[in-house]
Amino acid sequence: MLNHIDSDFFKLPLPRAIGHRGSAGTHPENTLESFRAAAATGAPYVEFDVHMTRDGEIVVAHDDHLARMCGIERTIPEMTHAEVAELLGCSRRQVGYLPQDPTIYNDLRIIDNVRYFAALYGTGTQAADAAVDAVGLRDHRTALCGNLSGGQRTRVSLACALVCHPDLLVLDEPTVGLDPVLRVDLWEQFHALARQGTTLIVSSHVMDEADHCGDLLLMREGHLLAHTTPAKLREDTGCTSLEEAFLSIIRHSTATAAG
Amino acid sequence: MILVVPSLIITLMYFMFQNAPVPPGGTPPFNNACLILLGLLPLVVMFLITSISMQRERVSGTLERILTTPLRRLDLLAAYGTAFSIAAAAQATVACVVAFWLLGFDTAGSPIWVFAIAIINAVLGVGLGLLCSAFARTEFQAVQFMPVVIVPQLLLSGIIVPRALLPEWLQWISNVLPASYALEALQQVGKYPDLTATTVRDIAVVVGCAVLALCLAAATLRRRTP
Repeated sequence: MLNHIDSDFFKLPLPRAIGHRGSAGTHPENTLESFRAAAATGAPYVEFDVHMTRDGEIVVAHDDHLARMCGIERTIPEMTHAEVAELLGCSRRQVGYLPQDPTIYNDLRIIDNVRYFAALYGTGTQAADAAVDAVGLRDHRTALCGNLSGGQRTRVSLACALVCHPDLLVLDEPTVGLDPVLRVDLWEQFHALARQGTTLIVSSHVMDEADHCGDLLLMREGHLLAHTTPAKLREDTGCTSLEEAFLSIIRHSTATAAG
Repeated sequence: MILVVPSLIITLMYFMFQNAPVPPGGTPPFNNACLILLGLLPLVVMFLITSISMQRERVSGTLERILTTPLRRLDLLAAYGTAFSIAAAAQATVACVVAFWLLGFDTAGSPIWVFAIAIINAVLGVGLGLLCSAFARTEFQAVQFMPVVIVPQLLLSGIIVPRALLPEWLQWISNVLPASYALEALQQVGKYPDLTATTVRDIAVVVGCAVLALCLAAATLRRRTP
């Protein structure tokens, strides 16, 4: 059985992992092994390393439990970057946040929105121009945000998060409800960011999004069920779809808890 | 709109009072009304504008997002305060120019002080607006704070019934409302050529209330780390 995740749980290891970005942390298999060992003894699981590759890393937490994972009894939209940054030991200046809904000013032009956030982060107008280019909106940069489509708005919102050149990018269900072409497009951008060394934390209950990630933290009601990878999860559970695999893990853990 | 509307209202008042008789030895009724409008309109307008725009920031999530940036909340409040105060200053300038030059409005004291009190009232309006936006869930509710917060202040400040004629318990309430002091300061400037001690005290009270409202508003922008 697993203990409820308290703040120390993640507070200790993640900053270390961030600090050592570029040098590999514990190997995932080892992590999973130590995790299992701790779970078997029923001892509170306090040691937890996030595997960090040279390419940066993607982690998935289930839905809004990222907040509780960080020891904050609030959901992601209420949790500020400052809190994530503080918990992960990096400066607020280096943390980008992409809220689930595009939060941009409809009465401003695209470039003005991005420049506004650039000014807030203190990165200047060149960074704003680069961020607009990065999300492929160069041709629309002077368009009024109120007139944009949903996908374009998401990209503007992403540009506002990218403008601070984040070391850590927190994404809350970034591709839910978007069309398939845009989804592929966004994931390519996310992977490109990860290759450049940005750590991305994706919070989602959509397993389609989880499948894109390098590392999975499966959580339910504040409990960490498993720390694994999509391939490993499929292998361990014998399921082809991640959705089923997640459900089987939940069933398994509730059965263990009951037994 | 922000710039022109107060001037238009004052002009409207001018024509309303055009045929009103001037009491012998007293001031023309237009002068009284114009003074009140010049000073208190910025309070009302800025309260409305601030509370609604801040409420929109809160609902749309942009406030949350802004708070995730390195910006400190005092920076945010100061930015809001100055932006709206500049708008208020422009508005008061236009209104004062129209009233003093075009409509023959006159005060015993310096027009500068009328202008200054108008600005201070605007800042008070910004502070109250920022504060009230925290308690409104929708823009609809934000608008309704206007009759709750502003109208009683105006009624009890002595616009309709002089404060001295109010029942004692209402006078007590009136004593703790900042608009009462704002109005008293305006009337002092209207009556006396020099700056009186009462005026200075009143202005200090209004400034204090504005600062207090801004500080309370800052407390509503919660963030775990400074």
